[in-house]
Amino acid sequence: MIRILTTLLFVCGAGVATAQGTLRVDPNREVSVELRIGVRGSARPFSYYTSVLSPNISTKSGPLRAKGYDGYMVYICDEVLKQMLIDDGRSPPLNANQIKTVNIDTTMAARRALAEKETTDTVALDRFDLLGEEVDILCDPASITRDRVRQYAVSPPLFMTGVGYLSLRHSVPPSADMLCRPDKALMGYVGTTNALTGGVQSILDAGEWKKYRDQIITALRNPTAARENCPPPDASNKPHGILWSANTHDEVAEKFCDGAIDFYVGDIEIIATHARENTGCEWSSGARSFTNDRYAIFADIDYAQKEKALLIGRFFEVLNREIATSDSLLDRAYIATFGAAPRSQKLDLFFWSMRGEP
Amino acid sequence: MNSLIYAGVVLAGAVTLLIEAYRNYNSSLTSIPFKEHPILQNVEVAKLCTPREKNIGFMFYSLLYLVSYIVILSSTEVYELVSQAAQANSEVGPTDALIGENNDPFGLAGTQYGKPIFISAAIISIFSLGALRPVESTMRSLAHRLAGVPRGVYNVIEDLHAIPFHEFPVECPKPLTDMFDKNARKVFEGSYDESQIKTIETSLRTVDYLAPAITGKLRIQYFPFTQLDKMSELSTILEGKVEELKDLLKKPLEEEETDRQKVFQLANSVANDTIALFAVHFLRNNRAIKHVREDTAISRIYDSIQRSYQVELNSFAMGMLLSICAAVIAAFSAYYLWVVTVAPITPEALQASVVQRLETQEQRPEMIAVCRMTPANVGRFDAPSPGITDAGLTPLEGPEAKACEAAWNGNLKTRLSERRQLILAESFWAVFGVFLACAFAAISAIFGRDVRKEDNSWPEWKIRRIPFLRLFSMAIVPALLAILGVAIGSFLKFWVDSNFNLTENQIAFFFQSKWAFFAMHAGLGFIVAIAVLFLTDQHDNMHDITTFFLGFVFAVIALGWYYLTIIAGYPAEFMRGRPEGLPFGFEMRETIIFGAHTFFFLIFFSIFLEVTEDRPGDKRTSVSLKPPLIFRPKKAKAA
Repeated sequence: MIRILTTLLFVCGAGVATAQGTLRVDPNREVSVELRIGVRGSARPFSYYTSVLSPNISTKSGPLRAKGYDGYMVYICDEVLKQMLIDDGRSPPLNANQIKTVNIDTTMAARRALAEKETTDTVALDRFDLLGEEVDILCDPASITRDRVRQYAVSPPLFMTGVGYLSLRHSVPPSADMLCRPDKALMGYVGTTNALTGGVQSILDAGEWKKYRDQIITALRNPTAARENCPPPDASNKPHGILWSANTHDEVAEKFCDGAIDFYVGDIEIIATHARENTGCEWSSGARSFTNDRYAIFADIDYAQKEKALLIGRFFEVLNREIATSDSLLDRAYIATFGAAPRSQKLDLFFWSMRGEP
Repeated sequence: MNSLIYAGVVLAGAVTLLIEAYRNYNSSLTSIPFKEHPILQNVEVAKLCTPREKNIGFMFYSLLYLVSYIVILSSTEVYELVSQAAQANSEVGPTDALIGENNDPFGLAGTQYGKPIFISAAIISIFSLGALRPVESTMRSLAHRLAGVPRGVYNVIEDLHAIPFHEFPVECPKPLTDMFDKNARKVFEGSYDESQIKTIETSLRTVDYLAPAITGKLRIQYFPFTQLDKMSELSTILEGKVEELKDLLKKPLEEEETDRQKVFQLANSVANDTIALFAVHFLRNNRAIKHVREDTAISRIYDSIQRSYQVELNSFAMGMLLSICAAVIAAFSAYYLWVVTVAPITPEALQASVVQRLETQEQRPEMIAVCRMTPANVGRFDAPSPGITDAGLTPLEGPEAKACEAAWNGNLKTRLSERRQLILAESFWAVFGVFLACAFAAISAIFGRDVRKEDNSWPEWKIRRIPFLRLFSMAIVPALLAILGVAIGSFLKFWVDSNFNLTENQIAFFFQSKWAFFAMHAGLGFIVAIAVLFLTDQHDNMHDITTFFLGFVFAVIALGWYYLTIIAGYPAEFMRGRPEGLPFGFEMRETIIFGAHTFFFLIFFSIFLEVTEDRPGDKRTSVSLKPPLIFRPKKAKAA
């Protein structure tokens, strides 16, 4: 009851503040607006759920890690949220109960299942569809693209990665005229073909996969026709044909390590981490990656919900402050996630440009 | 890095090497190759060859520089790729080129551009080091030899010395010897110089039989290809010396010691000069003497020097050919036994394809149903057929039985032949890589020894006093070439398997996972080189059986080394346990498949060395036929 009253009071107060033309918040007033943070169940090493409590999850953890989520992007969000929980007397107050963690992967799976009940076709869903509907802030490895920046609020770049591919060490790639195999796919990935196109094009431009070039381009241009030309052997979604996708990296990595996929394509850290988790999987990532993608945190700001908008604004304010100095949150997140693994020259330059000399 | 600029820099590195090669080669042409022979003193290489030969020699010489350049540069490229891949595997973040690296044409100071020039400079400086002079001179001599620039003189000189002139028939004219018998022998017989008679006789016979061929008008008849000014000049000098000797022997010799000494020294010196000049003529004439009549002294000489020609190279070639065949058979047998034990063709595996085929042929369902059962006598057509398990055989009955049996048997035949084909291809490729390694090592050892012999820096040695350091230094290049050979062979197979299209990723991994296996071939190359040098040097002094035995010992050592190579060079995940019912395990199988070639080569090589040897009977006899040491070309100090 008290909560409802408080909410009413807050809404009225906000209304008054708007009416006055300035957005001022009384720090003594408690806000009850819910901040929904989208995290991933299995996008290691950036955003994932771990049933085993990792060393990063301790009493010092923020609200996300306390719930068992971890990863580079989660660490950053978590630290920012932790800062936001401290009431400094001038910023909008936030308590842990207001933070809701949404597992994007399970939500997406539920949506997909629902959609597939209505249609027989495979349903392609984008996790960004959830932004604004079920999630306010997306804490996952989301690349900065022009379309996303136009639609959503975006943080500064937080990480730099590149599309690459893995191949099994002892496998010999198939000949170009035998790509339609019943139980093997040439390329495995997660997500939509649109997201893949740029990366694959860069790999082809670098001179890799010369002998499959025409078939790959045809399949990218018209995935449906490619699927029809090379139908799956049975109803199950076994790897087959040129392009094969699954909903999670766990699934693709497992098939890749079983030898059912020749090339596992994706952001290099994610695919390497997932392949590494399959014991005995001997793979090589080659000499180089092929694109430059920057990850950022995306949010949907609805200015009609002023309190929430204020909280998201506050989130970005704290985030910017935490990453821009020499004791950067980026470094802390990196060490917590990757430990002593060396940074590539490009990532080093990226970190340097974000926070100056460490 | 801009690839066009990089190509330009690679070209610049190659041109730098060519300039250095040209400088080096030209300076070598002014050297005097046969200083030991008075008549050939002050005769430069350039004067003993035609411009065409000079150019071809330079081509070969520069080619050797360029080959070293290509091998080293591509090795660094592979190394860079492999280390980059290893680094990329452990690094976090994008690992592509930094901004501007690819398209900045003015960034010539980039470290990548410097690599070809650095390698080119390194090759030049390394080859000019004193320690590597022998390698450089070997390369130069090889180029000379390939171009026909007269470098093989020493071999011919040795062969000429070994000819038993005293066994020539009496009808062969020997004016100087006769003059000596008539006018000087008695003087020697009574004096304390009597022991010199035999030496003088041999010398005079040498001049008698050889000199007419290289002096006067007969020279053009026998050696028509040697019309160089310098050669006729030398011929005239020799003619003068022979005349001088003739003048000395024409009249009865005074009983003075100085006169006796004069005859002795002049006879020896003219004989040496004759042999040297004859050898040069012979080589300049494409190792031939033209228009030779039967049963003359010159025809006998020609036969003698032709006979001992290139025993090692012929043994090498025949040994290689036979060992390839034997090794492929051995590898095939080992593979086949393994496959039929580990993965036999089961009736279950056959059944699926039989039924599928019958369905494709739209056979009657009743027949297909019958054919689902395995006929009892399948596989019995060549029973007991290896690789067929006996489980699950059912006797077929009814009218369909015959057709079914035919279908099953046909399918089995196809399977067996497919499997044999596959195993044969695998066996061939396995042998191919080792063949290249072994061939590179053996041929470089043989050539190296040949060149050193021609340079007069490969003295004979005794088994009890093995010149290990000399053999060791000679085996270094073959050891490195063996690594190159096996890497080329394996890479070719990998390339063919991938349909001639490899990604950077695969190349990087290929070398990452196989470097230890390749590196271990240095040991194999070393063993092969030592064995080849040992057998080639010593087979003359050993009985046939001893040579065969030594060849076998080296072969077993090589096989043992291969066993170590397999253990050390294979990734752990490649290793497998020993299947039941097989007399050998996985390591032994690989040792047989890969080691068989070297094993057989060393055995065949030792056999052919002895079989193709032209001197019958005990080799020691032929050694004793050689003239006293005073006649033999001066040898360099033993290493």
